[in-house]
Amino acid sequence: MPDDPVRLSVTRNGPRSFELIGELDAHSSLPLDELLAPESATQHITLDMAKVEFMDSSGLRMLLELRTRATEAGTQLVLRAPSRQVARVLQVSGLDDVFQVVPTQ
Amino acid sequence: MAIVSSSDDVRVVEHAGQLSLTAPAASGVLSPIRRWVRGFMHDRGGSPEAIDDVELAASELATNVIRHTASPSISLRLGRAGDAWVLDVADAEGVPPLDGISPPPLSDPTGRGLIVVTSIMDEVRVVELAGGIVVRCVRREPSGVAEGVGDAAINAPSTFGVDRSG
Repeated sequence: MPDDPVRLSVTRNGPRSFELIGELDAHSSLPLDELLAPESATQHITLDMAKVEFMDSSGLRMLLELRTRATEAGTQLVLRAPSRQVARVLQVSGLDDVFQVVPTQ
Repeated sequence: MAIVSSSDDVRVVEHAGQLSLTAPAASGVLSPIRRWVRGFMHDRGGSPEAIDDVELAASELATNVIRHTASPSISLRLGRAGDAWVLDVADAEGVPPLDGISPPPLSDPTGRGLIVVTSIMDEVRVVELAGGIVVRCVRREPSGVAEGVGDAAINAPSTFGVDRSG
């Protein structure tokens, strides 16, 4: 598609803490290496999911890959304040207990 | 039959209360497809819950066409029959039988799309046609929400065009 707009933005808002804004689908890609970069002693990688307007199982697939790599690296992936769309996909996939989810701060 | 729009590589036709979308099988069309689905349902009184569910199902099934078939294009049709939204997505070769579907192990990050669809839709059927495979989903509105659309009766799936010309 021409002039493909950015549909997912990833913004760093703290040590190993990132805010995701937009859509998580098969057209999106998470910068896994950047998210996993061991730049601080923080034991958690936190993704703020409040502004993810859409997520399907392709987005879930990326989160699972990130979770697996984080575990291998000795850290834990935390999903913060998942939007309704994110929470629903986690729930219907039966994975809401697999991810560590924390509510809005 | 009028072409409403052909922007974003998505060919859009609204006719007889039905929305028909044809798009190349590429991930860049997923977001435009979702926007068309949302807009169509919103304009016809869809509840927010039904709109979210059909949007998610359309995204999952279109993604399956891109990932798991050799089809160069995605064909999607959406209509309303009474209190039910009916979504057809073709081509869907390689879709496993719906009986006995089970979640993949955690070590396998793929294969959850159909589980999501069967969880949120009231009915999901795979219809084999001469030209390909159509996944048909039905999502019912809660009683009292639906506004029946008389001319939105869904045709038999045999009339669904499967574009294999590319």
